Amino acid sequence: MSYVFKTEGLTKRFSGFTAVNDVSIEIPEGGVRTIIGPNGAGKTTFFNLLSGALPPSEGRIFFRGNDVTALEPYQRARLGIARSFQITNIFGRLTVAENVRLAVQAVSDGKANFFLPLKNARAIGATTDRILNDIGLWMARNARAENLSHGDQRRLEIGLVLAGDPPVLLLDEPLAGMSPTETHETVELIQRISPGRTIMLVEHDIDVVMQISTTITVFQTGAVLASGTPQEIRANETVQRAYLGELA
Amino acid sequence: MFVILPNVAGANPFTGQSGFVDIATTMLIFGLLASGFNLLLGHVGELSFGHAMFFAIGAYVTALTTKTFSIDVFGLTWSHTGNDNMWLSLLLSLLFVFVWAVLLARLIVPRSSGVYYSMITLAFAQVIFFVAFEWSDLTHGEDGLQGIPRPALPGLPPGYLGDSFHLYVFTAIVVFLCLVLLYWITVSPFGTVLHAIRENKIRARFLGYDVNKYRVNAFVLSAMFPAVAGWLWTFYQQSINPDASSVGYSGNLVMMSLLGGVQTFFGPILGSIVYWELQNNISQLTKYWEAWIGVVFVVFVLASPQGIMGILEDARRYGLAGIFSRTKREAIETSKELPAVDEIGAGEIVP
Repeated sequence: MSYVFKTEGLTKRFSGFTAVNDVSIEIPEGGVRTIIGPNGAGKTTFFNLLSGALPPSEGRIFFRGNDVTALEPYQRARLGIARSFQITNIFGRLTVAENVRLAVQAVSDGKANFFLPLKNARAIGATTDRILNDIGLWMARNARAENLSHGDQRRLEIGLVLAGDPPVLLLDEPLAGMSPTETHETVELIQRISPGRTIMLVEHDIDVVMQISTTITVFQTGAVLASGTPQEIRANETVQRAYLGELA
Repeated sequence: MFVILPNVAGANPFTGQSGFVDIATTMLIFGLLASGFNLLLGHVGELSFGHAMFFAIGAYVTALTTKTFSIDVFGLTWSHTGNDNMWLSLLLSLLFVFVWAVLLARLIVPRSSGVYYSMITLAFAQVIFFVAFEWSDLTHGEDGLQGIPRPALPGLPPGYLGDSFHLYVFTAIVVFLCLVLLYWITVSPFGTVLHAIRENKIRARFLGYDVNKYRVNAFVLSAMFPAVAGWLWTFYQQSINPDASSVGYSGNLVMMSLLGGVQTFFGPILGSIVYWELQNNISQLTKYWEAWIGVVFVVFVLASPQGIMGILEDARRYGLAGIFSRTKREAIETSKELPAVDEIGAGEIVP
């Protein structure tokens, strides 16, 4: 079976503390692949290793058959791995339109030179406008991003992540701090964009996780405790004892 | 702007009062210097505390190009015949600064940020300062190089630039062209990426931008404008000494930029004008003029972090009362509500 990510003995130690411990797993192509686990289980660290935010202490990471262990975050982004952050991560003092344009420009052929060919500029402008419409922020395009409401900022960030039409998305707690309405909208959004992509999710909202996940991987103290479909995970006694039981 | 400038300085250059023309020329050259420096501070958000070194290198290379000298370097004799071709000296200035800036940027940028970045750039400026200070055979040490002739402009009579006003006009044209170029850089897609890096390095990196490459390029670009300023300064002063690479000079650039407003394009130029205007007036009243400029600086940093341009912007947006009252500004800001974004275009999100 083809996979997007494969890790071999992936380990991350912070002075004396092992956050991710010898993880060897494959993330299959396509679908919503969710990682759950108690606080401190190493979920976000695992994301940081996959996206290149942190270098691993040991082990290797493969992306579609290529060893990407040594690649910088910007190089992995160019391969089509886009990620959002737990804490909203946008360009606060730039306008909403500039935020989106930067994201579109990052993946365009022209890159960011002094001379941007007119043809390119038009294409970038058109894509920017379309994304602004898609995320419903067209009317606020000239506002500073920091002046948007929390929900709108999260929407803007998803716009940034989607701008390059990336095949792989790493979403770190996309629902954190959202109202029930916003949660509902965002879940719909994730389901809408999932065809043709692989979406990796770290999420605490267990109802949502059970609803939208193709497979679930459970982390505990830096290691994989179990992996399977939502039904399998729900039926797994070890998982229930370790994690789900607490919530029931 | 360049016609208004001398009026700010207190008189009109067209009357030929050379003292005022001299100040106006100084304002322009330092305006260019500070603007180049501010490409880093204002646009990338990184404080180089040694940017005067590029000014000094440009100035020394220009001075040495025009002078005849012969010195021993590691047992070899290096003889140079003075050349008054100003374009050659400009080219050499840019070349030397370029090489030095590329070396420094590659060394400093990937390894440091924040206060370490500032301190390392300061350290390298001190290196240039002490080379200029100690290598007396070449630089005449503390005294510096004197009696540098002003070059002849093609098509104009020799000695044309000897006239202060003519030199002022020449300086104004060069500075203007440089500022146009600099402005173009800041509004280009490249400039937008610099702003993105200033706002959020992590986000820029995860969008796919090679952040360190942009930081290196911005560093080198921002060093080239001080090189041109140093070139102009040498012809204007007709002398150069190690002070050009001193902490004081680098500090003045920070002060001018903050006074004028680092987040705006014209802030550093305005800062240069205000700084020299204050210097000119206060130094006639007291020998402690630097202390008084310091007081003005402190007041500005505390009361208006966005500098003079920030105050002008507040006045434009909120009226005169808005300058002094934050409550007033916030009241006006909240009264302008954002449009209800949910009503429009919240349709399909799939790209």
